[in-house]
Amino acid sequence: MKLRKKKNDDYLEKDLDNLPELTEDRINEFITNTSSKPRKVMNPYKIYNDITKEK
Amino acid sequence: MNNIDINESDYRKLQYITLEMFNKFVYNKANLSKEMFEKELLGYTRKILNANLEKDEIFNAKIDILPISKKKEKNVNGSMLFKEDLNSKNHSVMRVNISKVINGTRNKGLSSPNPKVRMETITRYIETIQHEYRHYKQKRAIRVNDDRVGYTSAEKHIMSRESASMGIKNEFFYKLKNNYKNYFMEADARLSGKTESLIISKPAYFQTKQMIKNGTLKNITIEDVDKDAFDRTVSRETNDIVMSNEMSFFKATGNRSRITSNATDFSIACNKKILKCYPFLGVEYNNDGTRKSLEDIIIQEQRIKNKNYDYQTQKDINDYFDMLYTDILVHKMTKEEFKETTKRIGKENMNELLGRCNNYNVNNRSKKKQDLYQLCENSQCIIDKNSFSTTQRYKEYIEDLDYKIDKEYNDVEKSIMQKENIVERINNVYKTKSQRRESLNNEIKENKKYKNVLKIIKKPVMMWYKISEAFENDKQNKRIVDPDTLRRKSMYNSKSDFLYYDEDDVNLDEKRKELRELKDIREQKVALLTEAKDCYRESEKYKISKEKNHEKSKE
Repeated sequence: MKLRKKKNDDYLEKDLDNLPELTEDRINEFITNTSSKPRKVMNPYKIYNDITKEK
Repeated sequence: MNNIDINESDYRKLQYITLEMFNKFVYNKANLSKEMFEKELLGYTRKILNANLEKDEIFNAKIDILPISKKKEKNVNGSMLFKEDLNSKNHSVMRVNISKVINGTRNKGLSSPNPKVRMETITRYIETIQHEYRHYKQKRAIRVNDDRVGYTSAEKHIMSRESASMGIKNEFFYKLKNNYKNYFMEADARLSGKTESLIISKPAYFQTKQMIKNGTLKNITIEDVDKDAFDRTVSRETNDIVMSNEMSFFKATGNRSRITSNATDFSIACNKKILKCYPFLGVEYNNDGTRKSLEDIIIQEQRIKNKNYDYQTQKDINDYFDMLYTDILVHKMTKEEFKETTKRIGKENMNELLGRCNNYNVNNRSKKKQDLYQLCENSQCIIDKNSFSTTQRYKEYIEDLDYKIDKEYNDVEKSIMQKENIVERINNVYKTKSQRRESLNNEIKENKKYKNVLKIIKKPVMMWYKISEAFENDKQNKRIVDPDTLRRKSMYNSKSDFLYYDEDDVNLDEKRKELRELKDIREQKVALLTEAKDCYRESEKYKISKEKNHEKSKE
């Protein structure tokens, strides 16, 4: 049982080294970024009914 | 959460592309070679993805489409790979397995004579592309901080956990398919892929209806079209996500959060640089890769709340930290750790935190939470200001784990020895197989200790092994145990319900046992049959000889 890396590896070490390091400001940017739009939730039941009712 | 209607005008370009595809492949069968099919479909994927990017107003994106080799990944429809360029921050690679579309699941896909099959393959193809594109948007939200969907930050945290553990942990995601299905990212992408494909294939749907009425399409009926459009998966996902409340999706899933948080612990222990990719995890973990203490998280929350934000963001942050506290207090902490933290923080603060966990109605949570309240009342409260900002070092973390695991391992060894003795005893007493089996089962039912022991074995051994493997320098002083040998011992009779387990390995041993028994039984049966045949032959010979004798005597 050895740790295998995934074949399509997201984490190449070169890329990881180049990324900026974590600071509190950067974390806060991510946490407080709520989009002004409300989220679009698709209701598949409704979509299906609309499609089947139309002629 | 209010369901918002979607502007179908956004999807107009995509609808046009699918109409083109239907005209080309479904209504008339295209006689093309496999290579030509691949080329054309690759061109269409590029078109569809570009239309999606236009719809979401993402202008800097750069997408490479690669066909996957056919032999290696047969069961995969598509896969997505996200890479950050520091210059543009929008680079990504997307892979779509076209071989499945061309060859088809049932009847040769696009090259089949039945137009119904061709229609199914194309709708499924569009589904997979939309599914992967949703993953692309998720990754953008987590890694580049560009959210085009409007996820809550709690959801983003869950997604970043899942994808951080997805990079290295094959066991959690790919071997256990139920785990993989139940993750938030996958469920979200499945639902969006399904619904968007419904919207996109709308005009094509009406066109097929008309063609059925005119009689140009003979092999399809209207009922088939309806069934294809609305699948079972949609109903299942919507029950989880759409039809219930705002935070419902991770209300009902304490189990999931526990598993994913453990998995991220492993992956960060293996490679702590992953934290750079997912800044949301910076709230839970230090830059060393150690877990932050609860006090540190509280301080972080207070710092963020001191700044002035909109009402919406404040609410979002509140929900986010509620989620974190529930995960840590209710699902992650042991009772001893809980007692220690209450000593440090104080009863009142802990009661406040437990009250914040109230929003989440997890299964079996109410019982557990009552226990926690009792613990909080019973613990002797001592507040040290110096210990308030302590961080848990990594060595301490490992030492604690070692202590626990050694203790548990000794218990387990003892119990296994006892069990083996019992087995020998039973084998001596009962000699037939059926008797042996019954007696074993009865013994195990009576002794509940074994079940508890088996529960203990499954979790921490793997954990300890992995962490020891990640840090080779610390390995020398520790006893190394193969998890496989332990597994074989532990899987003596009962089947595990635990999710960490590889089910394939478990089944192999049991299957081998069954096969051996079956072989024995079969040999016995064959012997009986041969005996029976011989007897029959002899009896027939005897009959014939008797008859002959009878005839002779008559004569």
